[in-house]
Amino acid sequence: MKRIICITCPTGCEMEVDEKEGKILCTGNRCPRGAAYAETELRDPRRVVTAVLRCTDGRFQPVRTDKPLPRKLIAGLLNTILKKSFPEAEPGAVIVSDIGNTGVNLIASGPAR
Amino acid sequence: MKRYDVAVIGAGATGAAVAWQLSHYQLKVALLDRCADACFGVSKANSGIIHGGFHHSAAKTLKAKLELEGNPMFDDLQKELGFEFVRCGIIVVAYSEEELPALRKLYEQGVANKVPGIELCDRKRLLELEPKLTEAATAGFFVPRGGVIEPYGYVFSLVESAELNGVEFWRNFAVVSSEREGDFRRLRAADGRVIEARFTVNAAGLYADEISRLCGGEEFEIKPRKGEEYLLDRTSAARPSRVVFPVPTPCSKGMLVIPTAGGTTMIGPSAVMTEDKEETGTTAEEREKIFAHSRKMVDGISERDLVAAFSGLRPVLVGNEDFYIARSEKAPDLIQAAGIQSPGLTASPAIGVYIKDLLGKCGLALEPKSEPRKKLPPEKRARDLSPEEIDKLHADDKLASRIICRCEFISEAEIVAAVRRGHVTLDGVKFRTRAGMGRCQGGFCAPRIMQIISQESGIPLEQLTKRGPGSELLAGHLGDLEVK
Amino acid sequence: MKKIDCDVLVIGAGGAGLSAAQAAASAGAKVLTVDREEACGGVLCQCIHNGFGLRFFNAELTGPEYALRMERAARESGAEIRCGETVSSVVRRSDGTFEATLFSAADGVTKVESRAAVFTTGCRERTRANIAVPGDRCAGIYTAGSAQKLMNLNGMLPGRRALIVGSGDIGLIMARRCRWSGIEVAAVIEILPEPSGLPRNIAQCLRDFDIPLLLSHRCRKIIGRNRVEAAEVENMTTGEVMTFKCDTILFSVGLIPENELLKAMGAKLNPATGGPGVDSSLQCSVPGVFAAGNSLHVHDLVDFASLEARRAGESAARYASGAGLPAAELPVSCSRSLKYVVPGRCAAGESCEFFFRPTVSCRRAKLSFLADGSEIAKKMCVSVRPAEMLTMKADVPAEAKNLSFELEECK
Repeated sequence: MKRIICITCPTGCEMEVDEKEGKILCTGNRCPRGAAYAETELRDPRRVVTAVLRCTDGRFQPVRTDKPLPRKLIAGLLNTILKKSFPEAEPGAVIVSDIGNTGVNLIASGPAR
Repeated sequence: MKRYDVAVIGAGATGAAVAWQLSHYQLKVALLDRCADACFGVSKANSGIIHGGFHHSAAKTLKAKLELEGNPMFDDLQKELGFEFVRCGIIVVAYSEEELPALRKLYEQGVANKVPGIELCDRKRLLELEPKLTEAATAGFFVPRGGVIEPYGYVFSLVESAELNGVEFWRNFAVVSSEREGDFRRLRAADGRVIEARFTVNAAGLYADEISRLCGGEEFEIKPRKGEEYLLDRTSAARPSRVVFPVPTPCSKGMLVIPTAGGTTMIGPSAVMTEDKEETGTTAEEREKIFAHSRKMVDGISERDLVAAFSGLRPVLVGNEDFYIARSEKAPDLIQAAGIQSPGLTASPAIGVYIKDLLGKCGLALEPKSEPRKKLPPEKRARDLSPEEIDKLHADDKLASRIICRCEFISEAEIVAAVRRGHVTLDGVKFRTRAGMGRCQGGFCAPRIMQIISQESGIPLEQLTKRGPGSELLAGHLGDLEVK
Repeated sequence: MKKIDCDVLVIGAGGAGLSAAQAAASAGAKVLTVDREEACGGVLCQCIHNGFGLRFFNAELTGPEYALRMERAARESGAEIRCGETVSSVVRRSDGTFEATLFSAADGVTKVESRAAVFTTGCRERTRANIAVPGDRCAGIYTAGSAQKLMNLNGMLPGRRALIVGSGDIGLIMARRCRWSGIEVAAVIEILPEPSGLPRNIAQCLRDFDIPLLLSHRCRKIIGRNRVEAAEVENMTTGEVMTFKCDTILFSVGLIPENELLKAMGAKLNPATGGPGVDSSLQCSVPGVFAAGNSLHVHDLVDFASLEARRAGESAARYASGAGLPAAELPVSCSRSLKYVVPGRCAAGESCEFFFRPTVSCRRAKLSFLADGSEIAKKMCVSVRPAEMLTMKADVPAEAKNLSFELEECK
């Protein structure tokens, strides 16, 4: 039995999660998103990654993954992008597509500052 | 190698005043300081008081004589140099019957010293002068000519005026060795820079003992006595209109309540002998003592108003409570100015004259300059100007109306001017402009100030320091470190 | 000197100010919004993490994304926005109009005449000095927000190994931000026995990175000659003192509403919130002056700040048009389990959204609205904690004298 906190919304339900006969049982969630979160958290934990990129003009642009990225790919992504500089992108534009063949993109999440 | 008539070691109140004095004469003068900026030592961290001249006997001590000479000089100096200074007056208060004899003794010393306007006060008169005194205020005396000053503003203006008039200021110049070479003394810095001077003034504060030793001068010891100070927000209900002194103890003038020239209320200092000349940490014990003590003196003291705290080290000359200002008997080209504790700041303009005269007696030719003195350009402080005046300035300089420090209302133009005057550390800019000294303590403006310093000075952001090498503000750029 | 005339002046173009601007402009007012930063969004610009907008936009956005949407909405509604402008004073004139003095590099000094003013000036952070942490004053000591600005807007690293003081959301977010920039985090320490931030942030900012959360611990002393070298941390339960090696300390020890301009106007502040006392129109004690967002009371979610600010913007527009606002004279008080209730005055017969901060932590509690001692409405609340604001929409009875709210823990 594992105790995890659902991170889907600010409520942060404390859930108890169990795996029995290949099925994931979850209690403590106040909405179905919690159960869905429990599934992925046990099998393939993912997080939305947020960071800033260096633009070619020296300014910084906030970026995010458009969907949660598998945790084991996060450090690699950050280390790759932080060492480079990128031309300024329109907010919402894809900067790095299909990270690690996951279908998750890195998009600009605001103007460069 | 650069050759000077006089090298002044130490750009605190003493050294800066000497250099400033000498800049009126046809002399080549070098001002050296081990720190990244002037006034980063003893002179930065003190109570900022222009003392009244009653704490020490003028008949028995050099410090009292110079204090009494220095006090009146501040009006003209302020007119010329533009630093913040207010003659708000000093009241010394006895808070119990037991303190009355010591109070009386002090008052009489003031009378003997011929302190102008010194006035004995009963409780009624005390409250007229300072309504915020507590119930326990019994009696006291008033010295109208005492005041408050921003010590770093004062020292910076002395140095800037001196530089404008020919003095060469060497920053980051810690003297590590010295030897005589004919008529000159060589002074060598840690980084290899060398200068030569015919005369040397040892105004090295906490390190005056080491400088004396290096120069073959007298052997003495300077030990630090730490004083902590606590600053309350400018809206503090406790802000008095006069500097409030308690009756002094044998080892210190006591913990004061000070309406600072900058607008805050300062309480302290404590007085604790320490060993380490570089250790200026604040402590919970002394803070509690200072708050407890100040609560007894003035109403309205609250820990909730605390905005800043700092501590300074007094350079105590072991075995001698007076100023040691004299020509060295062992090294005749060396003028000693050691043990300059309180009232060093008050006495400093007079010390400048005193040492100038000493140098004259040593054979230094004191020819006044024939060309007119270069004046410091008038300060254009946004906080002192009307909106109309700032709008006019904007026509020539857009940065005059861009406010960077909202809490203290400091414009970008003021910050740029400070950087152009050589203040390239965050503390240097802070002390020169007051930017970062307000409620938010630089929380909002420090990143912008850092950018401005970097832009103006060319120093990359990651090399910017708080107060010199070793105090780098940042650790590098995003991407420098591996994410695990 | 440049002169601008408008109906409503909004001071601060962050999550609250942009919302107030949009609401006022949509209500037909000529709106000028000003901000001292060079771009809109306030602190949202540096909050590059997600978690914003779930209520206001029904989307999960980063701070900059939220700010951008708010800015677009404000501009589309016709509000004018000027950045880089610092307001030095706002004066209420004898005819009831306002004159604000603005300073910028672009325009020099500008005088703005308006018929109403909305103050959405946000907060500042509590500093190390405010909480009197003894020790050295060396480089590397930052408030969490300052470090966040340096990292996210300047691309700089405050240090290489951090200790974070305070387990509020800002501190937790910065713990993750540090790790995602390669900065080690020695620990997050919290003086209270419970964490101050959201549980989701404990999970995704600390647990994800195995960063220790030390509750009932305080920073006893900072050690560092010129740059931070270590921090002494005391376990307040056992008295044990440990030393953490670090080169930077981030303080996340609370927010203080910024109301210097309002104070200068004579507005009465509520000591329980740090902001002005307001009525249900969010009008403060100076007629024509409205407040919302973090400067009114510290919010946890920008969504609520934006929602609240809508009301302030609508009210300001109404006031500026001369239409008048309902007299909201009924005082509202709150019981001991609630630190405050905003607004503190309302009008008989109106429906009003109230905001509260609980002083207790419990799993379930009943929030009751009482009129003359009788409960007339209630709301069940779960996971009640001081770190999370409560809200309740309530109908004020047509006839009542004593209005109060109570929070009662359910066993």
